[in-house]
Amino acid sequence: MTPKLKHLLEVKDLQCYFKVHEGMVKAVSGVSFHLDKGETIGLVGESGCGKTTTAYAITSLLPRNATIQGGDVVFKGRSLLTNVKKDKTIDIFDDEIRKIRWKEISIIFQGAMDSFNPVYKVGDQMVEAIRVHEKVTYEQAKKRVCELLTTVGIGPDRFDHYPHEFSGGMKQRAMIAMALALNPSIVIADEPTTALDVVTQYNILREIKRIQREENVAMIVISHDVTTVAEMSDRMIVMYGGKLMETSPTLDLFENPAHPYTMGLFDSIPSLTGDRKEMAERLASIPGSPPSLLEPPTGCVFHPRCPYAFEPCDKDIPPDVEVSPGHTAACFLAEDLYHKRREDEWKKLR
Amino acid sequence: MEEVAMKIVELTKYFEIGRGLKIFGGKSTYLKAVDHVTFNVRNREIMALVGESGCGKTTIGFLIVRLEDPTSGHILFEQGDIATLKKKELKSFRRNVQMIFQDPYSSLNPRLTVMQTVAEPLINHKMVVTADEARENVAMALEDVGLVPVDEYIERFPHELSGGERQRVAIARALAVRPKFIVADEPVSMLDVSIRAGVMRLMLDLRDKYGIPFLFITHDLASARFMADRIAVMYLGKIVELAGSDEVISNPRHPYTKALLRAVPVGDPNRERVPLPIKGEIPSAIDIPTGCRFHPRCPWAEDICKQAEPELKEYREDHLAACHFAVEGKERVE
Repeated sequence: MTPKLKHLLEVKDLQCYFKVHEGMVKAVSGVSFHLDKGETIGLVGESGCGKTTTAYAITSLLPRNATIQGGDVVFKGRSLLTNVKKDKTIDIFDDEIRKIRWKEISIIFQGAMDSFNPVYKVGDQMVEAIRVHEKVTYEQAKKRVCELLTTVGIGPDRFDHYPHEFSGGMKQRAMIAMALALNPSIVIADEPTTALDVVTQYNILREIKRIQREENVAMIVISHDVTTVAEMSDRMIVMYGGKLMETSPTLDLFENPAHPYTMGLFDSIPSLTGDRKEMAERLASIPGSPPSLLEPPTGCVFHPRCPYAFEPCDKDIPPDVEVSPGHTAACFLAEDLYHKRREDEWKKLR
Repeated sequence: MEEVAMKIVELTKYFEIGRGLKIFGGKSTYLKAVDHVTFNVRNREIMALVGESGCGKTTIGFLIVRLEDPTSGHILFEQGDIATLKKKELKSFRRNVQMIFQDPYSSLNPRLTVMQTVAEPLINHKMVVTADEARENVAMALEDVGLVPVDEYIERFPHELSGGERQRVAIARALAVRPKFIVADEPVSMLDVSIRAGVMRLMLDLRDKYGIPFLFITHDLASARFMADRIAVMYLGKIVELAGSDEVISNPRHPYTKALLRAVPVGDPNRERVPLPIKGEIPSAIDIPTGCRFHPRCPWAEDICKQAEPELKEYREDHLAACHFAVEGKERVE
């Protein structure tokens, strides 16, 4: 028997709350997942579900009012949350985490348009990122940046250009190049294509996927758009109200969703394929709206909007049920839903 | 022939962006946001205007409600031409054509209650006299958009409402004055995914109930397919293809439409991402390519495409395309 390989990254029961005037916003309450080498996972959910907080907490990139109430982030066998202070806030300038940030775990930020400093040349900004972490000369760093710009399809002649001379898609490409500059083992992509047009979006996603395969880097792709993420990721994590609803290999999630929230989410997306009439009948919103995380609902966070909600849902927190290998859902009915035993009921309830 | 609710003829909007000094022989530069666009919206119809950002779709919406003044062209509606209305005439016209904006977080005044927001256009247009009348009308509009029980919502402020509820208030406000045409500019793109379908369904129901034609402006072909009877695809200020929703999706004729359709994520993890047939990015609307404005990106472009601008012409009944090769027998295949 071969010894079980340790995961590259493990997030264990992470709890991240924000202190606000009215109390505590429970942005992330008890999230666990792992990421292996070269793997891509998609982290999806609506705005305010905690997906971005979860991902940014990995490298302690959180605002001052953030507190880590519990849990741990383990990267290559060691904890990244040693910088949590006694009052549970985080020292974001901690030396240890700064060595990890960008060198080991880099981020493609959501608004690539605004991520570059407008008064410095794009190339120089990338050189700076390299030289902060590695002892190389300007010329050496510049050579690497030019190679990277070629990799992402921009070309080295753009080294001396300023951000405003780049189109939106090119800035996003440059951002990808910058995220890869130090050969990180993990890249976190936060809504990498949200602000872009479909055609550019398609090309960028293709590029990310190609580079991810070539460099064998692990990725966490965050998005509110299930369909975009699905085409990129091996596994998907569905979040809602600061918790994990469902974790599954992508294909199995699409074919056999086992959580009512995931099912509702799929039913609320119009599609271009298949019969139009059928789509028109299927398409429906999830009633209600996402919960306030100041006072999240008791029991299952989704129960106020869940068509199946029954007796224990408002009191007991549902367990993570493993419905098939690697596919878990936090629902009392997960087994039934996975095996589609409640399909007719679903149609009736909607 | 179905009756036409609004007819848009050669509508054009150029924005002047740089003024050269005349004494030095300088010329002004223009951004051609909308460039000689012609189409019509039929009675009881939802017409979708689809395109990427910067293609001019929102500008058309703004021109129709006269938030912008057109450079030239006509917008024929009822007996008149919206494009040439004087300021005085605008007021009564605005009652007939209402707009739903993209962002319900900024389109509602945070200091007004739902009651005040929805009643405001009624009072402005002198459609109500007494407070009771106003409340009655507002209650009716709120019921129409599904904000029930009305008493629970009517005194709330925008910050006490969710995004979906805010957009419903915005729709109620547009609906309250009994308009004859509604322009909806990306009405669901700012909303959470799980509640978009409800708002789209609401608009469909309102169309069915009141027969109001909608111009539905969106960047998302899939929502257009769900909502619209016909879809017009725009590129750089021009309509490149216009046909029934199913026809556009299943039988696209313009290379740009084809590329757009292929670029849309379908949520199939097994799908291999092949390169798109089109190259590069949208050129600037200040410096529009000669001939067919799509030719620099088109994989099938030939000499004629660089020289002559293709007209939007009938490919078959009810299916228009602006491509030299969108002619039976001359189609290009990959």
